Amino acid sequence: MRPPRALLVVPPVFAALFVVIGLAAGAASLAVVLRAENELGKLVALAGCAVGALAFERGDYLRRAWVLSGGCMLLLLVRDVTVIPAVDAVVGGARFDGARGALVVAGNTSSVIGAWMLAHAWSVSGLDDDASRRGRWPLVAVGIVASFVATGWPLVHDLALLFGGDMNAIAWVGSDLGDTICLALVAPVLATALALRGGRLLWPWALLTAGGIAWVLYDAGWGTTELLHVDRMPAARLGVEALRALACTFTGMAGVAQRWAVAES
Amino acid sequence: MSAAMGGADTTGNPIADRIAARLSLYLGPHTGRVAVKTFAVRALGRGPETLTLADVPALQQALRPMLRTFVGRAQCEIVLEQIARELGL
Repeated sequence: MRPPRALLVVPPVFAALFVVIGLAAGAASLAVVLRAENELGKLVALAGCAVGALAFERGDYLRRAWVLSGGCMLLLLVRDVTVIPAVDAVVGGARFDGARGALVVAGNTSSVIGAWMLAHAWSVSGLDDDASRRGRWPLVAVGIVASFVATGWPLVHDLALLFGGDMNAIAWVGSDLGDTICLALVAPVLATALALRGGRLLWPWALLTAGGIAWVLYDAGWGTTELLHVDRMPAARLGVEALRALACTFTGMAGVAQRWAVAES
Repeated sequence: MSAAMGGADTTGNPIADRIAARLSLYLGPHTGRVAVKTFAVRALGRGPETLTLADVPALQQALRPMLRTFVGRAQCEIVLEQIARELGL
């Protein structure tokens, strides 16, 4: 019972295309390519979350989860619009930093609540019992350790900036903490995907898991390249950003798969 | 019942197996069977192997919150109707 092949193919094709374009563009144009990938990825994720939400009716549990997950992307996109030079000139430059930080924190809060709801869908459904809880704990423990390993360095780095007096770092510390929690919640989503194998609902949960794992690798890659002082090298930046492209597009495709899984009867 | 819907394991009760098969389209064969067992015990205090047609409305009611969570209210009602239709209710 496979979903449309495009749902599985789009993320790797999108990431590979971006890497090829980045390599062809060269160092001089890399920043433009990275920005385009970043925003396009968020748009794909936002659109997918909207499609996933529309698979349900108002008040349905998973509709709220998809809306909150998409809300993160929407708020981050709004924040990104404010740093476009032409917009920045109108909205006041540095005076707008607080509002930008608030958008990042609100986006991450929305993402954390959405991820929490997705991770707890299994319990909410009433299928949770002692046996399934026992089976999930090892996965959850691995997820928590992996999330701290992946986000440990960015968190330490941004906390150092904050304690050094850079108040802009508040937003990034909030973002790092949001990432840590969201990544830890990938494990219960994986457990749900495994429980649903063989059914249509496997696909949205499997694609959500793939997106979550890509986010873990992105955070780990970002931290590692910075630790090794190679984060300015075009190849390293492209490699890490390809993981963000994968994460965003897997999330978007998960939303589409959710609609496919629920719509068919 | 098709093999794809039912999987290898069955309860031996045709009503429980039919419901599990319908649920397995969404939940997969393992969780489809687990759902029937879990909610039969919760709603009726008995295992799925004891299900009769008279038990089905109570089991449907017990399955409703789980289905609403995973497929939403609209599709939940469609699935429950399909179950009733397949069982001739």
